[in-house]
Amino acid sequence: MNATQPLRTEPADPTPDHGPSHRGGPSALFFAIFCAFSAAGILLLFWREGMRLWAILGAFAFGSAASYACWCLVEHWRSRHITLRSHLVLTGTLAFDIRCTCRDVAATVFFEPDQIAPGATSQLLCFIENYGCRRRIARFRIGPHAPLGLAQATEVALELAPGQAAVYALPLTIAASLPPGEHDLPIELKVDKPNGTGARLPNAPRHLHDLWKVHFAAPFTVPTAADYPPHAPAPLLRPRFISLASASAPVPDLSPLADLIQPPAPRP
Amino acid sequence: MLPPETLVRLREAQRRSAHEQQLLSGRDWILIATCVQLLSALHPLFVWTNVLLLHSPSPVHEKPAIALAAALGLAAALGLLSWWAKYAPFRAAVVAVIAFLATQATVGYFDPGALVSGAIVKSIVLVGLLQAARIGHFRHRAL
Repeated sequence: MNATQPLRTEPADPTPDHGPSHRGGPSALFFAIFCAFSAAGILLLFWREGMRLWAILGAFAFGSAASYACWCLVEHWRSRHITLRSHLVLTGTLAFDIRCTCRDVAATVFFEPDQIAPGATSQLLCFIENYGCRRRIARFRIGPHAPLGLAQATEVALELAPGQAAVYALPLTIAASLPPGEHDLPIELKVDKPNGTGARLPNAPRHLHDLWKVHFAAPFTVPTAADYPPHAPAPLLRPRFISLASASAPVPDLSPLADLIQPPAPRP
Repeated sequence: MLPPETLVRLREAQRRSAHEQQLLSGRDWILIATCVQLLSALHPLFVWTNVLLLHSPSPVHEKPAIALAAALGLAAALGLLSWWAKYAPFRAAVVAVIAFLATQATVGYFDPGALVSGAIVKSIVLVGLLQAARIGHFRHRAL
């Protein structure tokens, strides 16, 4: 990971980390059982053959791994009553089509508006929501896409409190030389877990696959010049990172999102 | 709260992006097939190592060297095709399916038993490649 300084939302979310710092669950149970059986098997097999040093080394290695997994399970069990709840803004309130999470962070990326006349300005919206009970840092790698003014890939790190939902808006201007048709902006998402993996929040969606890295291709359409005449270049606004919901707040606040979305431009 | 028309606009733009993201996964299917193909080379590698280095008797009706060369060659070809799928996903997936079937036919001609052994793994690889071709075909058409 690069050393890009993480951005905090406006306003900042004060929700602290909750629950265990390790995942636990069926994967940890499987790991504990597998390592325990391996340790016992290696110990008995090598000891019987007279290779006692190898027996002790193998049992120590697998036994340590089994103990670590058992400790994760115990820690997970002791903090099983997590009271924190997610507002499920992306999958519930906004009803977005989310297929997977990236280390417990649900994300979707698209242009608004996605029909952009040559020379006009649009904004890339990166919606993210943390379904984990611990802090996450979402690292987006946007581009490169020279006609959008991204000659090199832009990296941005966004910090999310447990259960927080937020949107990052990046204004972009389409080059007047971009030919009409369908275009894609490649985007890559990785997520850091500075305070451990933790558990998923109890009301988080269970059916979402959890990936280490997610690729997006934000589509946009450049219409023909007959439909939309070329615009004069407008000054770009600064990127914004806005909080939409906090697990500490009783209800999500989508009013900043309404301010962010401009009414559609009238067709000439 | 968001005005309903704004919410509809957001959802439409997001659906389009989600559909585009789904199409990206065609390349991933070829990558998965490559990994499974590499894993399937472990058994012929084990048999071939036993025969060549440990001088174990060669299994009857089995040609581990041919099976190993075919598995590794096919894995390398699929790896190259997954890179090409970044630029031409449909053509890369179709070429991968053809290459896989041609390799299995060739191996089956020299060693008919190889077609039966590892049938589950071969089926997994073929399903992955067909899935990549299907997704590539969606991208091939106008969205």
